Amino acid sequence: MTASSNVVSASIDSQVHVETPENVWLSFRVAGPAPRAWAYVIDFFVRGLILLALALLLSLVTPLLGFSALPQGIMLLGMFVVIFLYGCLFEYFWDGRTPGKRAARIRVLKVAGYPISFWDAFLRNLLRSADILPGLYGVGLVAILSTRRMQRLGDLVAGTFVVHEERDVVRGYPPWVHGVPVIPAQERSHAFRPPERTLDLIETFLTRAQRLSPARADEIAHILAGPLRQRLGYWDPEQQHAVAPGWFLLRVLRTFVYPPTESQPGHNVDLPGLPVAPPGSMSRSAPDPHPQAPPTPPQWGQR
Amino acid sequence: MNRSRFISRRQGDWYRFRQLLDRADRLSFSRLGGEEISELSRLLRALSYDLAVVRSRDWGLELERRLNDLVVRGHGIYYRAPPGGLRKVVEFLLTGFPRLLRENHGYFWVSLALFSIPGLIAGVLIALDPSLAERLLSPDVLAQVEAMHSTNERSGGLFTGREVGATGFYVFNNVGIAFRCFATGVLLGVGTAIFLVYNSIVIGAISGYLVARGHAMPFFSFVISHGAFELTAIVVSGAAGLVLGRAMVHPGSRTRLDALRVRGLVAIKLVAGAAAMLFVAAFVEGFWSPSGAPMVAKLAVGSVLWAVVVGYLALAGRTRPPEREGDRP
Repeated sequence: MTASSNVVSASIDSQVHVETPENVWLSFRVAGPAPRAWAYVIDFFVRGLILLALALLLSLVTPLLGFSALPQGIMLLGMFVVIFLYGCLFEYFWDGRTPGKRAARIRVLKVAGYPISFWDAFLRNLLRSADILPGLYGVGLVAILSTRRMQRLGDLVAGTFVVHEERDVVRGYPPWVHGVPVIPAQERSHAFRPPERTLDLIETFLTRAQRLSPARADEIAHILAGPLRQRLGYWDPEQQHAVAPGWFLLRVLRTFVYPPTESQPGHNVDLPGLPVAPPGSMSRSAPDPHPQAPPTPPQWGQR
Repeated sequence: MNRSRFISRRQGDWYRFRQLLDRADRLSFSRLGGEEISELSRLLRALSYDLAVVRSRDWGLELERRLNDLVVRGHGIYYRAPPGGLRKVVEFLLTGFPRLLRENHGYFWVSLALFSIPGLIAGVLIALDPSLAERLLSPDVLAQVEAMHSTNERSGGLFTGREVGATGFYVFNNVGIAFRCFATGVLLGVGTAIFLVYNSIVIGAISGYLVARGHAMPFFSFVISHGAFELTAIVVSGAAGLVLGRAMVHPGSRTRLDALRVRGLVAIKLVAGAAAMLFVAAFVEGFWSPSGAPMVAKLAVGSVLWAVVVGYLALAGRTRPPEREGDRP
């Protein structure tokens, strides 16, 4: 664990680290009260729908049977299952997820980072009756807000916690570096190569810049670009001063991280980043939020 | 090694690992071939190492997050609990549960005391002076109880479906009560204690009242059969609640949280056993207890059932099972 990762973990408070038997630590994003409440609301409706379906089915069958108390008894058994065993059964058979949790993209795990057992699921769901106590999950909310892993009483006793699902998004070669010209060696006076973390910072920033307002993105790009331009001794023969900082950062990325290869100028075959699986094999991965990532903000276009 | 050389050298393994994970998700881990499993375990270690390398060299949050997520998935598959199955359920009910209860017999006796003594006192007092009953229960409730328990037969002869209705109600109601009785034990055991004492007094009061009004025979012949399971199960779930309460009040050499976690597993198993007993009780209460069988027969069967329950809890699983290989890792 390096110093900088400690800083990261301390500053992003919903990150929890778990050390594995392989002696690395895994990081999880803990789910707070809001997504969990949302999951609960969805589950509430799913339970209602199950009971409604059962009631409809029984009302169709009743005239055939002639007993009025028989469907009543089955209905009560159904209510028992839906009220007391719904969470437990789903969380056990679906690896810590109920339909609501699935929709909210959260999951219950043991605090050591692996799936829960039947007893864990049973225990944490039974203890709901204690968490709910003064009304509206008072005890549970206090427990969630006062524990580092945001656990309610049931989680504390069962040794479980609720995390955000990994966002298994494939992002290989960012499409928006296509056609961006590299910075030729004669335009930079120093043989300076930006450190990897700086380049990563630039890439992270450019990925997220689309979600910022143009003015704000420009402002941040300026902070990043200024010192870098100095270190590189960069000068643009045509328009020294008019180059937008965002465009400059794009060109830096193109030069040092995604240089065009000789065989295919403008298209990089040796994909940096993570393996991009062939289409169709990524059954688990969520749809890419930037399918064909939109080009960089227009104000950064060529001149 | 710089970042891009590292990535291009390692990404084959990453891709292969993800393929194996997808396969394991689709097929379940147990159906992977032996070679695939050893490959998965090798890759899990290799990726863990890659993750550590990426972190220590600060090769980017995005890369780190992606590797982290892959290792998390592998970790989940590799370290999940062994699968359950019907055999384990049967084994637990036949031997595991009574053994566990005997291991924690102190809680059982305390719970039994809380559930029996207040009720006995209330019952004896009210049997001697039935007017006291109205201080605990409203006249409406008393009249209803008396009407229900003044005769032997309640279901009206042949199977009418009412039995199922009643059974459903008893499952819903009683198991729910037992679950809540247990869960409130986490609040320092106070919830469980209040629950046991309160129900004890109500049951005692009703029994005493019915005895005083001369309905002892129909009442006791009704409750004796399912009571064997139901009353015992309530005491067991009370004991489970007290296990949690004790862990909170007196955690011993552990921290409170650790004590809760360790004892919580014991408590939940006790509750599961109690719930199974309550299921049996609900069927007995729905079908046998209100049936038209003669009261003497009900008393006889009920006594046998008490013997069965006591024998089960006291003796089941006492023989030492033969040692098996592979039972312990």
